[in-house]
Amino acid sequence: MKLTITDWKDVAGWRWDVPDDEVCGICRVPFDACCPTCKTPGDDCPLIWGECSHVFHMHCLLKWLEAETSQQQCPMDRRPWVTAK
Amino acid sequence: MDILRSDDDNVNWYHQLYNYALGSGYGAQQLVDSIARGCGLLVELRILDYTRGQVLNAVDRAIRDCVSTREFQWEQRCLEPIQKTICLSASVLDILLHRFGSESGLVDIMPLDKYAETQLFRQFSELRMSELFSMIIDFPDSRPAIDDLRQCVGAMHNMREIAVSLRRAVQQRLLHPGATTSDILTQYISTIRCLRLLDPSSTVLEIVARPIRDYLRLRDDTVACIVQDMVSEESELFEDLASGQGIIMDDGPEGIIYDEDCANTTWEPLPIEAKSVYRTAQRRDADVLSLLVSIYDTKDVFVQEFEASLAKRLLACTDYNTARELRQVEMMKLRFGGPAMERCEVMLKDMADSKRINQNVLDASRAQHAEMPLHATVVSRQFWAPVQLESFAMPPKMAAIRDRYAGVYESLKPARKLEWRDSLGQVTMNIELEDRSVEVSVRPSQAAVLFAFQDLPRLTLEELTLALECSEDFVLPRVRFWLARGVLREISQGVFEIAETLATSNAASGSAAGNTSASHTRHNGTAAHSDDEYGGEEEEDQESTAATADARSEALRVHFNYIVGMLTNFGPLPLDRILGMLGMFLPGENTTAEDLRNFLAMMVREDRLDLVGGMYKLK
Repeated sequence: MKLTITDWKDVAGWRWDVPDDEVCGICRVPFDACCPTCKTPGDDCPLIWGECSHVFHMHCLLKWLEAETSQQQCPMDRRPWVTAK
Repeated sequence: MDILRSDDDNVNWYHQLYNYALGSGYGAQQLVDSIARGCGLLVELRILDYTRGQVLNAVDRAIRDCVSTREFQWEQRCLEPIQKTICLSASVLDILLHRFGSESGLVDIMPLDKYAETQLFRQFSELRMSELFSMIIDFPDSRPAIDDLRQCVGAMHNMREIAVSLRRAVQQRLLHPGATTSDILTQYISTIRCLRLLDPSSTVLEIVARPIRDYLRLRDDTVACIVQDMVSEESELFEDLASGQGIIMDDGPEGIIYDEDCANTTWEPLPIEAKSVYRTAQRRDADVLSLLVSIYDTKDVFVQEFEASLAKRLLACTDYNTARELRQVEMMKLRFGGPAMERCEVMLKDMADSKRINQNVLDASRAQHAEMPLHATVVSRQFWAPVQLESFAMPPKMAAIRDRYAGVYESLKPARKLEWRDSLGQVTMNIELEDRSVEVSVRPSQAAVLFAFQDLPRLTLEELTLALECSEDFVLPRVRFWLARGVLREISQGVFEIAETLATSNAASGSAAGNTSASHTRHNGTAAHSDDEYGGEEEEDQESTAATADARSEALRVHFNYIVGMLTNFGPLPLDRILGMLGMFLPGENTTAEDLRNFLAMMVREDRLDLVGGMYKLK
């Protein structure tokens, strides 16, 4: 028997490469959904990784860093925020 | 003198006379003569004034005869011709009777033509009233009959009576378990249209509409039917949707409705039957779609149903062409408001993105001179309804194709991963056997089973479950799928092999599972192909419904703690009590008894609850 797949219509869900069931530490919305200000997830609402290994919705973190109380620290561990390369 | 022997004979005489008057070929002179002769006789006998009742009876009978010939004749106007004949004849008779009657100075008969006209309207509207339900079924073919009836209503002002009689017919003939929901909806829509023709102020609409609405709300599939109707382009609802009028709002403040009523100079009070519970006034001017949506207190159910149906159609779409769906979503936005359609917009965007990614993957494969049969739809997990996960290991050859696709995807979209949804999708493949080749379209899991046989043409059930890393329950239906199509055969209990040639396949047809395979493999390639497709779809439908039911039960798992708390506090409880209390704790969750029963049954299977005598209790 010889099997040849001529056409395969498949469905996949995408997910950010972050641990399962994790939500953004700032807005508490799953990473795969978007931050409260966005309407579409993915390219329009990317994630940002810090060198301290914490991850947030980029929009959430930028808004946090803009706030004076943040003192440019990671909201999780209070170390100075450095975006991972 | 014979003709005046009894009352009955009198009636007959007038009756005949009247029939002649209706123009059955009797000459006018003869008619006048016979009337004159008859009246002369009556005058002579001085009984004309006693016979008035008989005359009227005869007129009634003549009208009844005339009207009854128009039963079920709905496709042309028939009231006006009858009215003309009858009024004309009646006035002729009237003149004659008056002339001869007054000569004798004995009678004072009321104007017969007015009497005849009223009788005609009454009898005609009674006939059409009794037929109204069937006329509505035939609508719009029965439009002339509706117009006739409207003329009667204009004269008789009996709209209320008509509505009440229609309500009775609706309750008897429509609102029973034998009628399908889509039939009821069609009839409801036609009823609204007909009643609006009959009574433009729509004051009595609610008398008929209310029992239908109440009934529709009890049916589970009403929302699905309406949404399906709404998006199929031939339907009337689609036109309503496309017209984009009337944004449906959730419960508006009552005050505004009264203001509208005050501004309306042609305002009429609502009939008592149409209690204002359902805000009838607001509904008078609403189009049919708004009326249907307002069956429910909230529009959310429609938005959810639309999302589900959109997701289904998008996933079934093979060419990433979403023009039609895009238009539907735009129209839904006009109707239900933009925010309600946000999830749908993400779905459409996913489709557009998938199309672009797919093109990139194709280009990348072409650059490496590799075939890429896979076309993926990549969805944003949080915005599509969850699917039942099937757990099995893809055979290496199929997994390799997916990995190649995922590789290109991950290079395009860094830091993202793909999770394949095995229960969706469709594989079209060519099966080359020794003496025939078949092309089939099957689900990925079905293809996977066959791929497992590629290296080892003979496998036991156990080996198969090991190869696919799944349970027997998962493998068996898929093996049966191929057995039925004659591609596999069972050589002994639990041992399967590829049916390379037809001859041996026929010989093996004695075995239990092989029975169907024999009949299938006798078809040549093309016939077998169509069979395969048909069988595949059927199975798919059954499985997907089962999957959604399972998913709904699964969703209840988060509430299991509530149920445990309940059973701890109150002791063993029956299903309806648990359902009632869940409804109390979690308003807004529309858990059906069916879902809850399934879920509790699952908990019993998982050994967390016991079911004793209809009561659930903790282990």
